[in-house]
Amino acid sequence: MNNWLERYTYAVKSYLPAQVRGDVADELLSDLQDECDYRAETLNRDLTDDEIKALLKERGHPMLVAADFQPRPTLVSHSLFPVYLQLLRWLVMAIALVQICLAGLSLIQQQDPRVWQILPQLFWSTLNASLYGFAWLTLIFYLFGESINRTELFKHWKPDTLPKVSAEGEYISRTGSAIEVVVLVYFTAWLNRIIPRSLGENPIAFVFSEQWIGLLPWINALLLASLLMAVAKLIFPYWTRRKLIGDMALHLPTLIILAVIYQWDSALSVVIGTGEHAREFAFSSTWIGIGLAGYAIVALIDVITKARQYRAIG
Amino acid sequence: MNDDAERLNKLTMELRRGLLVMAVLEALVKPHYGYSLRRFLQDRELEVDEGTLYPLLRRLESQQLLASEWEVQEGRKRRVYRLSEAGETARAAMQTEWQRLNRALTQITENTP
Repeated sequence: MNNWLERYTYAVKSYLPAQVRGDVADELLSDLQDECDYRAETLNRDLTDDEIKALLKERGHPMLVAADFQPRPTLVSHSLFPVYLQLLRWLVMAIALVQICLAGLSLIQQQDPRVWQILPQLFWSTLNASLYGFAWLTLIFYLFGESINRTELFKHWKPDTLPKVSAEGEYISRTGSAIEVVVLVYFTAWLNRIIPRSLGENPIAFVFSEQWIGLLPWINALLLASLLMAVAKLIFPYWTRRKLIGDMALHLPTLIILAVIYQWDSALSVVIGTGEHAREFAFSSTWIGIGLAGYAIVALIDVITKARQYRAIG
Repeated sequence: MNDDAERLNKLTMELRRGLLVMAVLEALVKPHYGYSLRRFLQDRELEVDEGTLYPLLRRLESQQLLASEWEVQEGRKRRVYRLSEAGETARAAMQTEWQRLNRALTQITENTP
C-alpha cells in the first residue's frame, strides 16, 4: 500500500518549493494513510492496489495537488487593478507630454525644422517609453502592491471632478483601440525608417520607389489623424456621432493615397536575401489594384455599419 | 455543464468559500489534524476536498489565526491544528457578524414581496 502512497507524495514533492516540500508531503502522506485506513475499515479488508490507485486518481495529478498548496501570485492584485489602470493612463499621458516637449525643443534647435520628420519619431519614442513605463509600473505593483492603500491614494478626490454625462453610443473595445495605436505607431516608425525596414539576418527588405518621398508627408498626416482617432477611442471608449464621422472620413484620404500609388510604375518591391543571392519581387500595379479594391470593399462595409450606428445614436 | 448550472455552481462556491473559513475556525475550538477535521466537517454535511482544506489551514496559520504542531498519534505522524488567541477572537467576531447577516437576510426575505 505504502509504495503507491509514497510514490504519489514523492511526485507531489517534486512540484513544491523546497521550504514547504517536506512539511506538505508528510501531511499529504498522513492524510492518504488515514483515508486508506478509513476505506479499509469500511470494507473490512485491506485495499487492493487498484483501489489505492483509484484513490490517487480521485486526488488528481501530483502537479495539480502541489499547485493547490502554493500561493497564486498575480502581478497586480484584483482589488488594486483599477488603481493600476488609472496610474498607467496618467503615466502614458505624462510620458507623451514629456516627449512632446522634447520634440518641441528639438524643433526649435533645428535650423530647418521638419515637422513631418519629427512626428513619427515622437510617436515611436512615446510608445517605446510607455512600454518601459508599463513594465516598471507593473513591477512596482508586483513588489509593493500589498502596501498600497487604495483609499489613501484617492483621499483628495472630489465629486466636482466627475465628468458630465453625454449621449453615449455603443462601447468601443479598448483592446481593439490599443492594438490600433500600437500598429499605427509601429507602421509609422517603419515607414519613416525609425525602425529597420528589413527583417532578421536573412533580410526581407521593402524597396520603395522615389515617388514615395513626395507622398510621405501626406501619408504621415493620415497616420497622425488615424492615431489621434485611435487614442480618442482608447480614452473615451464610446461611439459618438463625431467619432463615427471622423472614422468614416479617414477612409477617403486612404483611398486617394492608394489610388495615387496605383498609378505609379513599380511603386514597391520586396528583396529577399542579400548579395548575389538576393531576389527581388516587384508588386505590379495589378496587386496594388487588388489591394485598393480590397480596401474599398472593407471601407464600404465599415461605412455602412457606422452609418447605421450613427442613426442609432439619435 | 450548461451556463445556468455553471453560474449557480460559481455562486455556491463563492458562498461556501466565505463560510468555510468560519466552519474551520468553529471546528478547531477542539484541536484536529487535517484528516480528522475533514471527517468532522463531512459528518456535518460540509464536504471539503483536500485541495481546498489544507491550503486553507496553511493560509489561516500564516495569518496567525491557527497554530500547528506535529504529534505522533496512533503510531502515525500528524499535524495537529488548534485555534490561536487571535483565531479565537476572529472566531467570535465572525460568529457575531454571521448572526447579524442572518438577521438582515431574514428581514430582507420577509419584507420582499
